[in-house]
Amino acid sequence: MQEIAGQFALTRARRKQTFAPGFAVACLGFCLVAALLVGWQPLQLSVATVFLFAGPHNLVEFRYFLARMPARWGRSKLFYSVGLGGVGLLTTAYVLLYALGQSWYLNDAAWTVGIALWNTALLLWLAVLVYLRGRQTRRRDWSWAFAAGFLLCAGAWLAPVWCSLALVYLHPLVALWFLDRQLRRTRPHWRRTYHLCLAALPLVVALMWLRLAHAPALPADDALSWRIAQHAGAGLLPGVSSHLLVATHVFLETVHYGVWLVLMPLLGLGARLWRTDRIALAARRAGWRRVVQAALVLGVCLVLALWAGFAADYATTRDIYFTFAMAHVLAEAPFLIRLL
Amino acid sequence: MKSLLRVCALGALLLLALAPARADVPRPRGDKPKPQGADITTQMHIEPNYKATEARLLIPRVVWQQMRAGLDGDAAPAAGATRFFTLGAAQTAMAGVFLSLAFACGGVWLVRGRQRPASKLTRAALGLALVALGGAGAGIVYANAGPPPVARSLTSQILVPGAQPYGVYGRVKVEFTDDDYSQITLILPTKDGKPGEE
Repeated sequence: MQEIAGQFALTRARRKQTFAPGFAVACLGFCLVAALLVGWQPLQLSVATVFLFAGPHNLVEFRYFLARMPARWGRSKLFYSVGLGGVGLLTTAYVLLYALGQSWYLNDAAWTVGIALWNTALLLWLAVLVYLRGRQTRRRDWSWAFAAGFLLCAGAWLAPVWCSLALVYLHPLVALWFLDRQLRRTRPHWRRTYHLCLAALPLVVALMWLRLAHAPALPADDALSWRIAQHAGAGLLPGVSSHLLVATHVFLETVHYGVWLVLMPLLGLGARLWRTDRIALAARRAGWRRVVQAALVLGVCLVLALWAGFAADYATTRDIYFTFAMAHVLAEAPFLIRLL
Repeated sequence: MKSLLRVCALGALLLLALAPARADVPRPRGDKPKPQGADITTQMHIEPNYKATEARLLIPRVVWQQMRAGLDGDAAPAAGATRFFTLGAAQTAMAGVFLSLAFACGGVWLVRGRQRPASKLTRAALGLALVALGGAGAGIVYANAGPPPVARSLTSQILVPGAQPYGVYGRVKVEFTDDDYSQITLILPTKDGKPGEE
């Protein structure tokens, strides 16, 4: 009897250890409040969230990537070369494509082909990264990445603009994967709770869709509102309320900012956010201590410049930000694949 | 330090020279620049209505606002984004090439996987899932069979043969509606005011 009671107590203790109610309540509470607010005023919150959090979240991501970067690449030399080289090339190509699209050098057909080519390069780059990562462990055969990559490339040529829209909606979700990897390292006993929260996220989105399915389209009286709606896919989905589309996009972006600005620093970096002695690249004797410090200071300056730009001319700065922000979207890929 | 200053000064001079140089480049085509922002692509529906007494063109306010907002700024990429699944020959060919490559690579991966008995079940399940996905896709394609080709796009084919060389013209009342759907509707009164008769 005593044995059974002892076992019961042990199970309860273990369950207590693997469940973090405070974390669950905070996560779900944040998601629900964000969904309610965003559903109520999507345009205003889109402007506000990008203004406040776009720059700082990039800085935290950059700090995280610095911490994840090994001082010596060793066996991963090819992986990091392809990864970081791809980030540079694809970002340059994207900025060029955007700049040409703004001028009269590209007509509609050329623009579509340009986007399709860029999407193809992105997908093949991802396939190569997955394959290279798989090659680092003997047990893994990740050559399926090419089959999947080519299949997605076919989709990217059939519907190039849909592929770009998918990137807009999928990118915020990548942060959730990073958080899972971080929890695995620092708080493995919270992962079960986190997975439950993740399972609840589609429910929150579904509730939001039910509420906003018949909401009237957002007023697109000015160029900024129109661009925000177009960014969320209102031009591609004329049958869907633009209120719902913008709200969904802003909600996902808010979750993305929440993960990078609140959860990642709390769970991973903590007070070490500004300490460079814990960064492998800077800590070694022959490390790039000053380069890392200068990069972080430059990052802070860029955040301040972005805020100043937003305050001076929000619409133009937003356009410029979303063009160059492609670099951080791309940079997430090699670091995430490296964590798998 | 001096050479760094020189390089910076040269860079600044080059950047300054860029703006007038770009302004001098002739336009790719000789025509006037088009106000790109005003172009939007949307759906149109032509509806014969026996209750209607005159032709009416219904433009949803959303579409009108998009056209107005588009005029406010240059929105070339967004204009590209409004293209609704238009498939060119090059796109189809490239999609075909990549689809073939996907199947070839998938096949190689499956063959290589035969050496790993532990993952046989996974691969078999994946193969079944692919077949099921293909089957479901084919089902969707047939289930969505729409009206005949002539009724799917707005071409002169929808006109009666007598009107083909000239087109048709007449008075139309333009109205703005508060509909949520971005679809322009042209309501045409039927000839005798009876349903089904033209």
